Amino acid sequence: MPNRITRRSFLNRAGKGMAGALASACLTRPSRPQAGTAPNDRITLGFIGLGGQGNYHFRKFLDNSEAQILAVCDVFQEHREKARRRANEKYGNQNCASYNDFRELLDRDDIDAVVIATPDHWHTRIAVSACEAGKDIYCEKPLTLTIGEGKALVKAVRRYNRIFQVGSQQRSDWRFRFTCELVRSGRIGRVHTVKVFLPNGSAGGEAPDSDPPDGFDWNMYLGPAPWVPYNKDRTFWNFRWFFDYSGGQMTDWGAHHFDIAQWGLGTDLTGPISVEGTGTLPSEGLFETYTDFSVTLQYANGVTMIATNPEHGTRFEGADGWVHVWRGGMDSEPKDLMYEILGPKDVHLYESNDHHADWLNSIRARKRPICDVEVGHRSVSVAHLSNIALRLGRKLYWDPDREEFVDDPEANRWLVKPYRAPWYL
Amino acid sequence: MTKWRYITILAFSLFLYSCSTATVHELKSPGIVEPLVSEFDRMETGDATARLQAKQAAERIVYQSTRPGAREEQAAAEVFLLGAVKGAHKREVKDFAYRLISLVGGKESVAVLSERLDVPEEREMARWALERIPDPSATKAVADALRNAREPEWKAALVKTLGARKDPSVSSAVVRALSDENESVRLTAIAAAGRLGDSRSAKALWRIWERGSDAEKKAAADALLQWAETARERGNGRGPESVYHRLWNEVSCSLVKGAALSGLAHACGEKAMPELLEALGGSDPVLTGAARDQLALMPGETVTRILINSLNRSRGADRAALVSVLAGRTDSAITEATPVLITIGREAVQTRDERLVQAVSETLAQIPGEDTTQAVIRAMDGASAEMETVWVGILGSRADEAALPAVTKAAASENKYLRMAALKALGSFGNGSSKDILQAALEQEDQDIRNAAAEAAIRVSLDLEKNQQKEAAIRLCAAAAQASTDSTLRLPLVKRLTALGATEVLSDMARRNGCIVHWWALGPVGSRAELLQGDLIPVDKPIRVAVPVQVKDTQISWKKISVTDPLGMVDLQRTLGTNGEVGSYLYAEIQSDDERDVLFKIGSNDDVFCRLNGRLVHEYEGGRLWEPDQDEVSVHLVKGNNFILMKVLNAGGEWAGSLRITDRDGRPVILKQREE
Repeated sequence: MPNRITRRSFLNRAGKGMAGALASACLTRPSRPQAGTAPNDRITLGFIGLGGQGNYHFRKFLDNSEAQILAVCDVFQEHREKARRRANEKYGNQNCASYNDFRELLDRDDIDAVVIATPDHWHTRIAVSACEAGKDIYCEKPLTLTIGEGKALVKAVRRYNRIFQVGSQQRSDWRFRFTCELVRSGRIGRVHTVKVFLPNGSAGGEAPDSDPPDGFDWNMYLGPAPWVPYNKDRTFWNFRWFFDYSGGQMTDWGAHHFDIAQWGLGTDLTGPISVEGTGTLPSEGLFETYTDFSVTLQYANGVTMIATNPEHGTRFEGADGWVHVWRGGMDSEPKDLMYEILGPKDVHLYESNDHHADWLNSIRARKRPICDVEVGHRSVSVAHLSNIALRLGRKLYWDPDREEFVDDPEANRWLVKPYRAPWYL
Repeated sequence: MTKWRYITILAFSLFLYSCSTATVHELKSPGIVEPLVSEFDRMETGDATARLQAKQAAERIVYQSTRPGAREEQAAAEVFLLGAVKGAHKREVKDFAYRLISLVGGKESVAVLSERLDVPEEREMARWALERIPDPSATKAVADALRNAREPEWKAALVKTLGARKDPSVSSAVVRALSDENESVRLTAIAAAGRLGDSRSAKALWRIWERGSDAEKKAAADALLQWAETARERGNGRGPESVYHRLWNEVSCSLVKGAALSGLAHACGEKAMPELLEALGGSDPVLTGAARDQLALMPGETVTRILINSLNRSRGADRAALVSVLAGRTDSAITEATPVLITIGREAVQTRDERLVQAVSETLAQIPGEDTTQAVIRAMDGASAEMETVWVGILGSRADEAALPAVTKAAASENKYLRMAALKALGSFGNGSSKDILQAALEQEDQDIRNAAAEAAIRVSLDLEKNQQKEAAIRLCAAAAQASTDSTLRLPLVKRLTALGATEVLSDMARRNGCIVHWWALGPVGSRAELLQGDLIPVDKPIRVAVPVQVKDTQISWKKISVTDPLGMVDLQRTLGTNGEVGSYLYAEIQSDDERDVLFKIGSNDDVFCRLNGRLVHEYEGGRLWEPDQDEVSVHLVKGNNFILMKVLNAGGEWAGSLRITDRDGRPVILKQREE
């Protein structure tokens, strides 16, 4: 069984004076309003993308008394109408609106913030529009389709002072945080290697091209991606196996485990200096992305990062031991590391135990949340660099400050991907 | 299309290429053209799998041609691909070629692609490819196409490509589009002008700002903000400043005004102080927030003092945010914030503004120096218990030894919450002199008090051990483990007692709790799935633990485990060293003097099946976190030897099990257990 949040809560109280003060400060009252926040004080939300992950967020926020969902948007009518009905049932009114086009939702002045859970190729365009409309944003991972998109998105968020949470929710899990705190507090000595274990990608996609189902706006689904005929195996879960819409498991899970690797190394706002690797592409079907791979990335501090399959979290190896964390648990050598109590002088990272609540709290406090846009951009950049190196089939050298390949103009073309008209960034 | 037709096209392309390129006299085909011909042929004629494999092979060839130093290969690939887009292929194949051209194409491609901009069914992909080709001639080709374009959608597409290329040399074309009769073309042109960063574009955008529709004005403001960023990146210092100033002065939209303010602060630094102070003192929360965020990034005592002075004017969430910003200031002026923070803290407690209390606590905890500690201690004089609780929490966070007497005194308070806060604070000090206070608190009836003292005991025991008072440290931790019901404290206390070498204490505590402390474990065995269906060993008779067990093809030995957890938990993940979906058996024998009914209290992570004397008495299927006494079952012990077999399965991650025996009233039943 994966979680033991209660134990970590203790470790933080014991190890961190700050949290002790806060606990004391709040001793006489519950930390959250018991009866929920008054409707007028709730953060009003719009949802864009209501497939699997979008629906998950939708249900979570529907049950969150700090927020009120006012509108939903999806290019698939069935998804958006189902969500609209659920919201109205929950709130006992008919106030939730539904839209096919996200721009109509963003035009509403009464919406404070949006949750974006579309396929990846839409994330950046919608998020930038949301910034321009003055909305705060929760955006699913992988944050972007290209590194160029990430750079533009960071600028837009900063330009308009938006609060932006990237949906790499492992950062709000004590086990991942604790692992990174151990590493950054020097408990395994000087780190020399980080192994990132990602799932194997899928091969397949046998469906023939056809007309889209009723109520499915295929043109809007494609949006900035190049036009192709409708094929059901390009939609819903399977979008992630196409480079026009995503990057396979390299980005899909890389956005989680590379993110933890970067957090543990303290390279949140930078990246590797070189990347190379090999991978296997599907041998039949429609799907395009790598089914297995092995990528080696070098960091300026001498750390080697190795990304390979199958999925099993992130493992930091140092001169004095190792610590390995995955969704189901953690392990370490020496074993006692897992039971370590970090002291006041150790590294204590931003603590969040609820990714959604952290976003809402950050909106209220107007502060950067645990997985700010730049963090998400840099994490998925590691995945994008890996995919680019695999596709180009050669070692690439990366300048993490300029965010460009070194002396390799042809590789630099891969940093952006043109948008299909009329979409632009 | 036949292979011969490909080759004919290729030969013609090569001829054109050699005519048009002065620098490349002889294009030696480096052996990539034939494979490309073959793969494109497969794309045209093969089944789905063949098409996929052909595309992958062609991509590999073309991508590898872009490696540094392989210019001839790249040129050959480019020529081939240009031939492909001119040939009579299926749309899918042509689109594929356009994509590849965008990654290898140069000036030669621009010439061909600009022609394809006139072919209605191909022009979108030709434009798409041109957008990505770095050669400046691509910009000109798109601008030329724009001049002749008629349909609004196509014009907008070309304009947006000019914006994406960020090349100011074509700003006249973009500026012309700003006055197009079609609104979507105009709006696209506004966005494109914002990406060019030249003065002509800026002037044109200001004209839109002055005379445009509401939608155009908003788009122009957004574009001007982008323009200023682009200009700054290109080292145009004064242009961006004037844009930000004018937007700040003329725009009423808070969002854009706030963005202009942030830009101004970035571009001008402290010169933007008048605008920042104006915003900070205003009533618009968006502008106040923007000002606060920018000031927070500016170093220096002057800025710190400005932030402190603005505290009095601030209200609500903005005040809490401002207080939090002060927590990040590290210059010496931050100490001047102490009095005002104490005042704000008092008000926040009175108004029950929890967010502000938290912010004040955080910030006061960060301000260095004994003066702040003393100020907080003085604030405790005459304060209400609720107020004092907050101050004590802050003193605990500061962990300044000067506050130890005040916190110790608070630990004797009659008020439960103040006392709890003080006990926790004593943990932060981690001073061995607190041991008697903690010992006394651990004996109190109030469980919350006991838990607070138990938490503090861990750190205090570290100090006792450091000062050669190991026995006192063991006594304190043992008392804490016995007194606390907070499951989150159990593991740290076990760790401390283990580090202190007190395994017997731990085992004895577990035994006195009625826990089985002597087990034999077998595992990992089988898979969770098969063990949910049945067993891999005989389960109805006592087990000879000295004899290895044959499980399928493997012989496994029983492993002796002595529990050192006061609540009797066997950590199977650590003991058996695995985290997959596997299973284990735990075996124990107990002696009962009489036949009797007792309760088995079982905890597990995850599934558990418990047998007593061969009979299944309890089962739980499903994943869960371990807690003590999760399940309770009434069982009958026979006089003499009773044997217990628990099957504990793992659904991934942590893995544990426990068994405690009590009477019907919950009192531990301590029975003799087989040890060897």
